[in-house]
Formats: sequence, structure tokens, C-alpha cells
Amino acid sequence: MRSILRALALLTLVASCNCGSPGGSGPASPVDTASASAGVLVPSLVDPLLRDLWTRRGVTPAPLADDATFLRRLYVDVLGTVPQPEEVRAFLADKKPNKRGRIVDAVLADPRYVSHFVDYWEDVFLRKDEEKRLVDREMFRGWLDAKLRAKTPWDQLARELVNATGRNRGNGDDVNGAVNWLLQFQRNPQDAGGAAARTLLGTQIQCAQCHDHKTEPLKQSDFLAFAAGFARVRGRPDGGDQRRLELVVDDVDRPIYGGPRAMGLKEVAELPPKTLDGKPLPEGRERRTALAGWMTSPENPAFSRAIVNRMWGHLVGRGFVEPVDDMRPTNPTEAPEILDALARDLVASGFDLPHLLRQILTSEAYARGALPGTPNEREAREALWAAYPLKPLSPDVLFTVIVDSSGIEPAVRAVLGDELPKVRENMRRAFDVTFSVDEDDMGASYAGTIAQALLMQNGRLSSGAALALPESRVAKILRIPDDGAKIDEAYLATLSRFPTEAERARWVALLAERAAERPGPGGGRMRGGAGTGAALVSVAETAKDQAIEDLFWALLNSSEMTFNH
Amino acid sequence: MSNRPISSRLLPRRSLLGLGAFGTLAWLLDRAGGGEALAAPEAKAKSCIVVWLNGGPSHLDTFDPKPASRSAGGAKAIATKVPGLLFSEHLPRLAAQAHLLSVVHGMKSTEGNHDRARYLLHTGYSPNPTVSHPSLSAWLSESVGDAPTELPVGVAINGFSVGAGFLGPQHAPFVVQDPSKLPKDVEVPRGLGEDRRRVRLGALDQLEQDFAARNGDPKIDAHRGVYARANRLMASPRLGAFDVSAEPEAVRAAYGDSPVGSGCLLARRLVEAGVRFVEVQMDGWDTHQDNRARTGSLCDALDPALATLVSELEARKLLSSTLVVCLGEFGRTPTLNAEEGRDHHPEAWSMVLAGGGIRRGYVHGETDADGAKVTRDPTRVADLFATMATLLGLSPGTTRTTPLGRPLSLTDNGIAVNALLAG
Repeated sequence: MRSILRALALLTLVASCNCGSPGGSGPASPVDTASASAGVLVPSLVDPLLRDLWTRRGVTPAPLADDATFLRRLYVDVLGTVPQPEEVRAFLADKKPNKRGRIVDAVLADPRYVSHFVDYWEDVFLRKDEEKRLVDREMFRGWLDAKLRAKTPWDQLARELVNATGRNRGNGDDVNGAVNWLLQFQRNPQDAGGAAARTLLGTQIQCAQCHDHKTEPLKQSDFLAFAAGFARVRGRPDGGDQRRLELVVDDVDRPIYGGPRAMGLKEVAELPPKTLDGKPLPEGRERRTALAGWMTSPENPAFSRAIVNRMWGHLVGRGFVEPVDDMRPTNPTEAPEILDALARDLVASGFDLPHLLRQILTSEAYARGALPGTPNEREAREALWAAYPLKPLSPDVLFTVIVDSSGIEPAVRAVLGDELPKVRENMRRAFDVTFSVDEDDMGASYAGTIAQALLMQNGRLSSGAALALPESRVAKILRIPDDGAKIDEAYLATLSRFPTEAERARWVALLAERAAERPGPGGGRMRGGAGTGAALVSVAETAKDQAIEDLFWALLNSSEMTFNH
Repeated sequence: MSNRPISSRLLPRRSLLGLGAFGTLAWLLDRAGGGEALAAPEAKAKSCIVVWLNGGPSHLDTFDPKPASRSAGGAKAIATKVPGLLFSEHLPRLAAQAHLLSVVHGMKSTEGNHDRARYLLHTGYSPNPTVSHPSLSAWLSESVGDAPTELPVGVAINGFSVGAGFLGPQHAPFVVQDPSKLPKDVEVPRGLGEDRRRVRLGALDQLEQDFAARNGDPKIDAHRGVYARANRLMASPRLGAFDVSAEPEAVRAAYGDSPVGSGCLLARRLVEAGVRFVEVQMDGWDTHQDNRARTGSLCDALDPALATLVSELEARKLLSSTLVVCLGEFGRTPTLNAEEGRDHHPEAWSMVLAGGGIRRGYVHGETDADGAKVTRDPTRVADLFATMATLLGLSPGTTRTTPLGRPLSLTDNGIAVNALLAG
């Protein structure tokens, strides 16, 4: 039975893959068409629904992305980095069946999956670009890390977040990093309720914070009764010093009113708490536990639909509902049958997040390539996930991608020693601040800033990454004797693919041309850490060596590098 | 051009501060569908310089001292060029320039938390979780469209300010962390010659063409456009405007050797070079402890910076086309706390305006004997924003569509304060 299914799957994929692969296939991978067919063993449950959708709507899907593109896409989305050249070569050379299914399983089991999604969820729950005085981000990240590592079911994770009690930092038995999520609301139950509904139920009810919702049935009183679920939470200082207060979060039975400037507290202090669908909750301190139970119940369709929509939007580039956290009756849902099928499947899996990710990552929506066309044609395809859109890399991913593709970390560590973590954090912070962009809001356009382009061209990290520092990627490329092989390695390290024949020939010609020139002034330098006065000096000697550095710089700055595609 | 609607999909990060707000959505009823009909006012001010006193300056120790009151806490006041108007004794140079200023004594708001009030005083709105409001700088940038020079439309000096909200990051100010140096990363790495820079840009251009041909997404062109703007800035002859060391020593000394001094000098140079909106931040005004000594030394740095800025703009015939605004997020309490400090006081506070169509030598509003309450002509933040917007040629009722599909007007029902406008 299994083998019949597999044969069918292979047939189907071969049939749907009559694509000339759209460029990017080097000599080592002339068989992308065939290797794509060696894809998924058991097709994602959404594939028949997707094909039906495309047929009904008369959309011709883009061809499947070639293997190299698929691998890079998967690494960026799940591991937050790009594959190393040897990983690309190995994947392209893999002729065994089901290689895409196997690589999806492999990345979901990789420890970098956890660290990347810690970054992702920290941004969702605490917005990385915002200062939050009372919040200990490291403790919150530590909590997320432990939960994702333990493969905690999503409903349990969400429950533990909404219902968190304990100490936000320090060493006591009662330490619980999750309470930092609540502390960001500074005793305002309305903000806590609004954020809980938005991030966990995909519902923006905050409009009703100030007035009855204009277009939805939700009344202000419904919102306030929901927010009242958070009205008995306290965060009280208990130890630590003035700069690093320790705060303990717990619940009390009596109403809390706060001082004259307490925002949002007194309006809900005495309200009987209710769920969003109007069911009364217990009035004592146990109200929050009950609310968390209602929110995360398998019977609550909003909860499973919200995480499905968020993950689909994050991975495939566009949610069933956009923005992904604005699901309401008057905001249209594209292909609700697919959303619901995934939501039911998630509930049946016991809210297993990697299971949901696997369903999405092995789907045809995730496997599609791009197809040039008029803006309208592109929009029609991307709206139904029949072509894969360009997604700007998040600041964290961009940072990691530059570090990993350039391989400069050992050289920098040798010079900076103990300074490295601090310098690394400063550089990372510069990326966070400069590239902070909300993917939910990016939609079909791209809006960049001058500061971003300056940081990428001239910043310490990205300009240093293009240098032939001792044992860095570029230094290793310089030791490759053959010019064509040099270009191959540069492409594999950055764009995760072989150059086309035309591309390789062009850059080989550039190297030959530069070889006749005198080298530019001095060796390139990367500034060292604050106070160390140390500089990292390029080992490039000839103008041809420098041309490799220059090409590597251009690759790092290219759109193909800085967008996931 | 300024009426170009913003696509609801063209979007930036909603930086929400994670906080909520009340009662600020009344405009929904009033403005829906109507706001765009207003004609843009004639621009009196070409540019705007905001000197931001971060932390909430004590009005009682700056522009509204009450030396006869117990609330003075021993601080002394001096007379100014405007009869009846007193300044702190630590602001002698500004006192001598007071005939060029309008001083508002009756500012009044309800936001007493730093984050919320800073947001309010940059966007004209209290924070609201459903929309990320644009700063006034971003509204101006959006109305300008393509930058008229290689320089950015908006610049923030001494650190990042409030961003462009839903108008998009391309309208957020360009940040200069340290005004005594050229902006970060604006120069190619040392040792990289012209020749190699040319090779790099040529290779990048080729790679962009390769990818555009294969993928075809218009985002690739947008990405190239951003690089082109950055490269125009790097190559611009106007880049020298960022270099305050080009000023004579005497001029730099007049502004003072401080972040706010260098910042104000840089602001003047940028405005001369065509930058439209500059914010200079000065930190340290959150004087919960030791208020008198701290406000004294803060004023000692602010006084030469702001006074020299105003007098230089006047001497260079730029003041009439440059709106200068000095304010923080709120005032401070008349009573001193146990640590000789003053706490947050949004109920009554002061700010200063000059140039760009602002009346000269004028005091608007009044507080009671202790500086605790506004007793005459209270000024709402929305009205301040309407005043500034009007002078900059923006209609206070201009609306743009938020990502949730609702119209948002530039000000929260603000009405320009006519008394502050030059006749």
C-alpha cells in the first residue's frame, strides 16, 4: 500500500513538473527537473486542495523551484541561515528517493531550528525593536528555548504563557521566564487581553478597547469582559537591585485598582470576566487559568486557525488571511478549506508544531518557483500560492547569513578573544535596529532605507565579510587553483547554487582582466572591537585576489542574497 | 502629490509600544471620508528643527519659573527681552533672544508615562494598538515624495526617534548617532580605492540584472533604488553638510561642546543644505532626584545651543523659513519629592517655538502661582501639531489609509493656534 502511494506521488510530481528549471542549474545539477520529482514521499495533505484551487481559479502555477533554490529557502525559513557549500553539493548529488521529504525532516530535527524560532517568537511576543523596561528578554528566550527543545505542544506552550506565574529572573525555585510576556503590559489588563487575542487567536479586538467595533459584532463591553481575565494579575518587585528588579507575577482574589495613572485597570477591576464568545469565567484568582484553558482548547477553532495562518504566512509568504493576526468575519479568508484542513490536522496531531511545519514545507505551495510576468499575473499567482514570492530576510537571519556564508568568525575570534560576544551583540543590534521590518506588513511591496544600504555596503560586518581574512571563506576561495571553481564556490557559499555557464564565464573573464592590473592600495582591513585597537587584515595580494573579494562583496549585497526566494 | 493614498499593503512594522489608549479614536466618526477635501495651507516654514528634551523638562526650572512660590525650590529666575516673561537663571542667552520666541505656558496632556508621552509628542496621537502612527517628520517626508536633493528629507540627531509608523520605513528619519562625526557607514571602508569601488558596483549591478531577469519581482528594482539613493548620498557634494568640523572654532564654541550643541549646529547646516525636518535629542531631563542641580547643568548646555541656533538662523535670514521647536514629553511636579526631585506632570508644562511663521516675543497661556495647573489658554498636543503642520504647508486634516483600512488624519482633530502665528 505504502509503495503504491509512493509511486503515485512520484507520478503526480513528475506530471506537474514539466518545467525547464528557471536558471541556476550548474554542471553538477543538470537534472533539477528529475530530482524535483524525487521529492516528497507522502504528499502534504494540502496538495490536492491546492491543485483543485488552482484549477477552479484558472491559475497556472509556476514550475517547481529547483533543488538548490528549495534547499536555500528551507534553510533560511527553518534554520535562519544558508546551507554550506558542501551541504548544497550533497543535496544536489543525492539521487535517493524522497530527498525533499528527508531534508525537511532533517532541518526540523536540527538544533538551529530551535534557536531560529526562539528569535522568531521573541519578536512576535515581545517585539524586538521595542524597549521594555521590566522585561528580561534573555529569561524569556531561555523559556522559549526549553519549550521548543522539549517539543512542547503549541496549546500547552500558549497556556503556560497566558497563565504564567513566578519570578521573571534570578535564581529562586519560582523562576519562570514566561512571566516576562505579562510584565511588558505594565499592569494594563486591556493591553494584555488585546495582545493575547492578537498573537494567539489571530484576532485584533483592540479596536473595541476604545469603542464598539465598527464592522464586527464585537462590543466594547465584550472586549472589557475578556480583558478582565487579566485583571487580577500582579507583578510585584521582590529582590534584585534597582537596575535589575526581580518581579514576581501571581494572582489575587480581590479587585486591583492601581494608582491614579494606572492605565486600563480600573475599568475592568470589577467586571465579571468572560470569554470572547460570552461564556462567564470564574471570578476569583483562578479566572486566568480558566481563560487560558478556553483560549487554547481544541474546541476553540480560532486558536488552531491562528497558528496555522501565522505559520503558513511566515513560510509561504502570504497567509490565508492578511495581516496574519487580523482574522475576522469581514476580512476575507482565501481558501478557507485549506486553512481548516490544516487546523483540524494540527488538533489531531496534539498541537505538534513540527508536524504543522512539515505539512507546509512539503506542500506544493512551498515548492513553487517564480515565474516572470506582469504585475497582475504575478499577483494572481502569489495570492493563491502558485508562485513563491520574494521575502526580505529578517534582521537576525540576515546577520547570521552573512556570518555563516563568509566564515569570518574564527578569524575575528582569534583577534577579539573574549571581546567577541560583545562585538557580535553590537553588530547584531545594528542589524536589528536598521532592518527592523514587520513581515506581516510587507505585503507585495518592498520599502528599504538608505541606512540599510549603507550598513550592508560599508558596515563593519558586511565589508569585513568580503575580505580574505585568515581562513575565512574568501581566503579559502583564493587557494582554489581553477578560476571557474573559485566562482562556483563563491556562488555556493552565498547564493547556495552553482552559477550558470554564462555567469561563470563572465566572472572568469573579470578575473582575467583584473589579473593584468596592479593591486589596489593596501590590504583591506576589518576594524576590531572597541578598545582592542586590533584590525583584521586581508591576505589578498594581487588585483585578481581583490577582484574575488569584490565579487564576494557584490554577492553579499545582491537581492538574490538578501531576499528569501 | 501629497494626496497620494497609501496602499494598505505598503507597510512598515507596527511598533506599538505594547500599550493601549483610550478616547483617541473620536476622529473615526468625524473624519471618515471627509478629511481629504481640505486644501493644503501655504507653507510658511520650509524646514523644521525640533530640539527634544528627553525625559520631561521641568517647566519650573526652564521657561515658566515661579521664583516667588514655594514650588521654586530655591531656583532663581531672570528677566527676558519680553516684559513679564521670566526664564531660569541658567538660560541667560535665551533670555536675551526671547524677543524672537513664542513661549507656550499652557501645554496640557494626559500622558504621564515616558514611552506614551514621547509617542504622543512625536505623532500627535496617544499610542493605540491598532495603528502605528507616523511622526510629523514622516508626514512631511511622505508629502515631499522623492527627496529633492541627495540628502534625506528627515534626520534624527543623537539617536533614533519615533519612526514613520504605517507610512513605511522609507519615511523614517536618517539617524546620526554622533553629530561630531560623519554618519555611520557613509564612507567606503578605508583603503578601498575608487577602482575597486567601481568593480564592486559594476558586479552588483550585473547580479541584480541576472536575478531580475530570472525572477522578475519588482522588489528587486525597489532594492536597487534604495542602493542608488544610498550611493547618491555617499557621492553627494552636500555630504559635507554633515561635517560640523568645517565650522570655524568660534562658531562651534558658541553652540557649546556638547551633544546638543553639536546637534544644533549640525541641524543648522543640514537645513541650509536642504534637509526638511531635523530632530536633535538631548537626554537627561528626567530629574526625579536632585532636580535643581541637574536642571541647572542641563540648561547650561541647552542655553548656548538653542540661543545660538536661533540667533544664527536669524542672522543668516533663515529663521523666517525655519520652524524651531523645543520641548519634551511633559513638565514636572511643583512639589519636590523626598530626593529633592520632581516627578512627571503632564497637567501643565511649557515649550518654545520660533521662526517659520511663529509670532515673535509672545507668551501663550498661563499657569497658576505654583505652575500646577493651566489657568488661561490651555494648548492641547493636537493643536500644537495642527500649528506646526500648518506652518509646514500640511493640512491638519490630511488623511491616509491605515493598514486596517481606516482613514487616519495627520492630527487628532487639531486646530492651529492662531495666536501663535505671526500676523
